[in-house]
Amino acid sequence: MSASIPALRKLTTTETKLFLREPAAAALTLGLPLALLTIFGLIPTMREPSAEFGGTEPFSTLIAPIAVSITITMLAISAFPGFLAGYRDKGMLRRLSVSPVHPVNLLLSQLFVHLMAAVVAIGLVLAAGFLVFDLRLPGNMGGWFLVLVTGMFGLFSIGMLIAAVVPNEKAANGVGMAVLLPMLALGGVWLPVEMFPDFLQRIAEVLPLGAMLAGFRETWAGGAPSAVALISLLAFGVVTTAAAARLFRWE
Amino acid sequence: MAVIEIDGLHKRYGDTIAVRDVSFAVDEGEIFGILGRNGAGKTTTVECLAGLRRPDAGMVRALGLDPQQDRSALRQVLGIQLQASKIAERLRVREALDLFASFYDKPADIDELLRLLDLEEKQHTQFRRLSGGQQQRLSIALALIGNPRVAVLDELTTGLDPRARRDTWEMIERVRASGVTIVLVTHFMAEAQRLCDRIAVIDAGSVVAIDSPAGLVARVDTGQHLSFRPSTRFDLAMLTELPEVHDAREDDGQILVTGGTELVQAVTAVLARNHIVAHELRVDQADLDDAFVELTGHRFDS
Repeated sequence: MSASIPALRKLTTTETKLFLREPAAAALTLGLPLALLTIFGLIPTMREPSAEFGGTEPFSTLIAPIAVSITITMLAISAFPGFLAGYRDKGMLRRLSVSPVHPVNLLLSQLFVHLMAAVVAIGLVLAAGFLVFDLRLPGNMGGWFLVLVTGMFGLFSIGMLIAAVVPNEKAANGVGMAVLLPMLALGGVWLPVEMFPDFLQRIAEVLPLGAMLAGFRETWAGGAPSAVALISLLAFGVVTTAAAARLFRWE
Repeated sequence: MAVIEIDGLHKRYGDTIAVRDVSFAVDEGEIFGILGRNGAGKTTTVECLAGLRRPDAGMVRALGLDPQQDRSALRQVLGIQLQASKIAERLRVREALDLFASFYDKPADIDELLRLLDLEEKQHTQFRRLSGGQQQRLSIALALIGNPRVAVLDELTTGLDPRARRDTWEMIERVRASGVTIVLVTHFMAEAQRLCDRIAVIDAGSVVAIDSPAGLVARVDTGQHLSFRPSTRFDLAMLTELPEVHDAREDDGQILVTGGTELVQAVTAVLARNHIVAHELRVDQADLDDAFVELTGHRFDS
């Protein structure tokens, strides 16, 4: 598994260019969270303190956390595995395995590119929120970053597991959707978890998207992220990364 | 000097034996063909050579290196073009070469490679906008980007139209002229006959013959076949009594003659003496196709 630094750097710049050459994917990554912010930002009651939300504005403690969470989730679960599966399908992973550079380097550079894309997209979404709709800064900045890092780890690990086993891009998209939809439904994106029956709230709390979203909501409101959420994200990350490492097919 | 040596290679997948006791050696500077039908074991042999598969038995050496133990050293000096492997759709020709160049210690000069493979005008074109022939030429260029001493080209012209195929053949001859030893894996007779100095014919996992194309043809001594339509009727005995003629018969006004090497001269001489003109005269010789049938016992037909 030789990984030469110049090769890894070259791969990463190349993969960044290729990522930006797929305008549809990039637009979707930014478009959905921005649309969400805009639609809810235009509803005046969303931007006023509400007793239902513990005296905070739902725009900052519900809508913005959802926008950030789905940005990460879409990149991790649908874009990232699709790219890698496409490379496997086209024989690029196999092609690399007869070159001096092991295909794991391609995986690393793809991971890096998608993590960067997530950071940039979140930055743009938040900037738009601050500039246009007076979005509040997270009350607990340190806790917020902690949720961001563990959330990206948990979600991208799941993406890695999908990428490890699906044979082609189409299958990656199918499996991605099959994982994404229940996560969205149970994670409290379509309906706030407060409206769930009790046992579903318990499930939402430990599923990766639900845990991440809960963490963002808590820290935005100024509180500490719940230990359950953080531990669940870390556990998902460790387990799925280990599984991906075992199952990854390079051909 | 042999740059590739394979001795007694065995590889099985479950119950199927893919490669059975394959041995051959490739000399420096030659174009060595591995010819066989689909599923004959060609790709498995190449995969063992490339270190992608571990042989069950036998020895494989490329430039003195063991593909299993000296993987990274081998990858620096062995260029491989794999069957049906594509790169990213939106990657441009020059970017692809630039990317792969970064993988090697002593990469080739990109401009020189672009010139060698006639890709200069396409260097800023994305992979998906290249024709099939251009994509294959790029994949040869990628196999050569590390300045390898040996290049393995697997099923290079499958799916190309005849014109693109001939262009690709010309490129391969150019590459050899630049000093690279080439192992050409193919199931096209015409390709092997046109390009290869020597050919290993593989059938059902075994090597059935190794020889030059002419040498392989010479092994199947089916003699010469000659057919013509005579201007007047004549007695076939006139031909059958010639020592060069093995057999002569008439079929619907057409005379079919088989015989040894001097057949054409002997038959035309006797016809001329008897003032018979041979219309629609055709001479057929055994070719690599006939040799393949003779060596493997079945028709080629990929």
